[in-house]
Amino acid sequence: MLALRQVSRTAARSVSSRRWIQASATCRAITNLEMPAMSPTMTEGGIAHWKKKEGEAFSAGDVLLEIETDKATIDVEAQDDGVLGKILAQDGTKGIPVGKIIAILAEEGDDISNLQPPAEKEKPSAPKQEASTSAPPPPAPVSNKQESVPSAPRAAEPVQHARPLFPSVLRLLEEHGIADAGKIKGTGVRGMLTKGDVLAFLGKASSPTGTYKEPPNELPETQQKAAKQEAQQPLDGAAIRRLIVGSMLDASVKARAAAAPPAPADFDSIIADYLPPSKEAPATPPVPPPTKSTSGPEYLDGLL
Amino acid sequence: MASLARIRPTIQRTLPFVRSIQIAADSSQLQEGASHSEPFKVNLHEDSFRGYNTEPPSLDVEVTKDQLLTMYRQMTTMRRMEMAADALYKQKLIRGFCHLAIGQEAVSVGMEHGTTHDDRIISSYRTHPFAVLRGGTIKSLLGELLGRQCGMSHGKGGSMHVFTPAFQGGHGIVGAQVPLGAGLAFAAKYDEKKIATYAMYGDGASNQGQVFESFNMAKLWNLPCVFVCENNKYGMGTSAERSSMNTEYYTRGDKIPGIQANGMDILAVLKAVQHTKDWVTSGNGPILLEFVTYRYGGHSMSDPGTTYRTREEVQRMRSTQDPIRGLQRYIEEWGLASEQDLKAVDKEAKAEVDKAVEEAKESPEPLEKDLWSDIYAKGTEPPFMRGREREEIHYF
Repeated sequence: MLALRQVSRTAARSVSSRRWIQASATCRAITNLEMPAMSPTMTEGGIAHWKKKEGEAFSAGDVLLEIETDKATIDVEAQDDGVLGKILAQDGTKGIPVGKIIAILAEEGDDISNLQPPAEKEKPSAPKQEASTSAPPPPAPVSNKQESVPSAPRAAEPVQHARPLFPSVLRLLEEHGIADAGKIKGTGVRGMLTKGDVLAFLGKASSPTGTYKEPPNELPETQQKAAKQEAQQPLDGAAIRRLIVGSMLDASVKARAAAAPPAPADFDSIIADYLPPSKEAPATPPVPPPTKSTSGPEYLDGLL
Repeated sequence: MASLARIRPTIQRTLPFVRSIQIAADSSQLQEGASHSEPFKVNLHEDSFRGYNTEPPSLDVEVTKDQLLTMYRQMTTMRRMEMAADALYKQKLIRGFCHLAIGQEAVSVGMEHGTTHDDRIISSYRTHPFAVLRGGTIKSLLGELLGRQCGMSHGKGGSMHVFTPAFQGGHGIVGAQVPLGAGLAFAAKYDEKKIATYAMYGDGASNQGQVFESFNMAKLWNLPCVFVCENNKYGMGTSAERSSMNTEYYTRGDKIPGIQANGMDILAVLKAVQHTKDWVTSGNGPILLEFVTYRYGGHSMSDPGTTYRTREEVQRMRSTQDPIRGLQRYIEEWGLASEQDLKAVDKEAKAEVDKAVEEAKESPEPLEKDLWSDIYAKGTEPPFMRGREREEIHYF
């Protein structure tokens, strides 16, 4: 009985084992495969090679295609089981932005013969982006036209200048047909012309430095310190020597104090720190050093 | 080092004649008929557990039909949620770190069913399922990943900082949560609460010094702490054999007893969690629990996951040892539900996750004034705090 059960179980297992190859269940739906961002900085990529053909089935974890980013070629795995319905971007397509639909995936058993590429389904933010991007392009072409017209005939006129000019300055002068660079006052290093000078001359900027404002140095201490440092005179020879000798004296005094041997300690003096304060013996005044009189015949006794 | 890497594959992984654990997801057998209303017993495979300094748990588990169906629903929903997070990351809506637990669902769902919400669980950063199962919602988790106000940490924490009252996080520094877990166990013992604390870490974190310090303190003071090692065989990109001198992580506790369990079979996980909870709440001190499991994806979203292992290995694990397929097999073989019923559950899970994604996307981003809240506990803030630049000062 038990053997029969085991045999039937193994038979059932072999029959149903094929189903267990799939790692996730299928649901009847069509999903769009969008261009994934394979790294956080990726904005667009290209299709290197599709690993599956249209109509081919795949299971979760299989590689569907290889995507070429600016850094490397990376495999894209499938999340679910399914069938590749329709490839919208073929091998070799470049410059596909992240989020664009590159294929349609269907589930097994679905009819994939008449899959239409979806009308570009816009996410809610996309219409806003389209509206905003359509506004800048019209002014941009208009201004381009204005600048392209004057630059063409005036490119031939050379600009007269007595001093070196920055490339940006030279370009601006040529574009606007200013033949004599001496007319404009220069506010750059050693009186050079800057781009801001030319723009201010042309009226396109309010001043050579535009809207730049020096940040105010608010703290009074830093202002005083700055003023003090300006007022300090450089040291002359004698002052330097005085400074050196003074520092040497300080250092030698400190060294002598550090090198003095500590007073010899005995048991009572150490333990006195830990005992409760007893009534103090009258403090003996420190013995004054023997006064040396600088006058009298004994003065030079020790020296000679 | 490179020469060692070439020599390594020829070193035998296990000694001959030593039984090793098996990690199939569908090896449990029914004892008698499976009842639809009463709890029934199931026999686990004899190689589901190994013990160190202790007897492994017995091989019979008692389950009910509702419990198994709930487990299936939860595992499928968690899988769908992680896949949705993967897709959102590839659409650049989720930025920063994102560590997905696809393939390790049996551990989180099994632990949820073996514990109560009074027990403490603290883990590292592969914790999205834990956060949702222990009191969170899918919308709040996805909102946190997207950085919106509806998120668990109000959009300010991200993937690695998700907390609920029953789940203590969600921590970014590798292995830093293990001493915290020992501390939680200390608090439980101090407050005389009969709860278990599960301090979880991975095979990569198992060699951190503070993990062993926590072992010492837990055993010294007999703390009710279960140290759970989720061994998914790879610590970021380094396989366990290349990182650890002893890959039997359940024996690393020295005098602390340990159990190794099959982390792909949810019934084995459930039994192991029940056994260890009884162990620590009965005053036997700490115990180590190692789950041998596998992750299909890379370490995080910036790791393809195929540079340190072959794609065939991943595909093989997916097809033969997937925990959700294993549970599906149990349910169908034991006559508790049909394939169509389970497919319907899959569909509902997908719909639930999709709905949560849409709701989370609509939530607004945090306000600028929220930069200054939730840094200090209310009432303990300093008079002022500096912001991103020297001139940006906020007065509390």
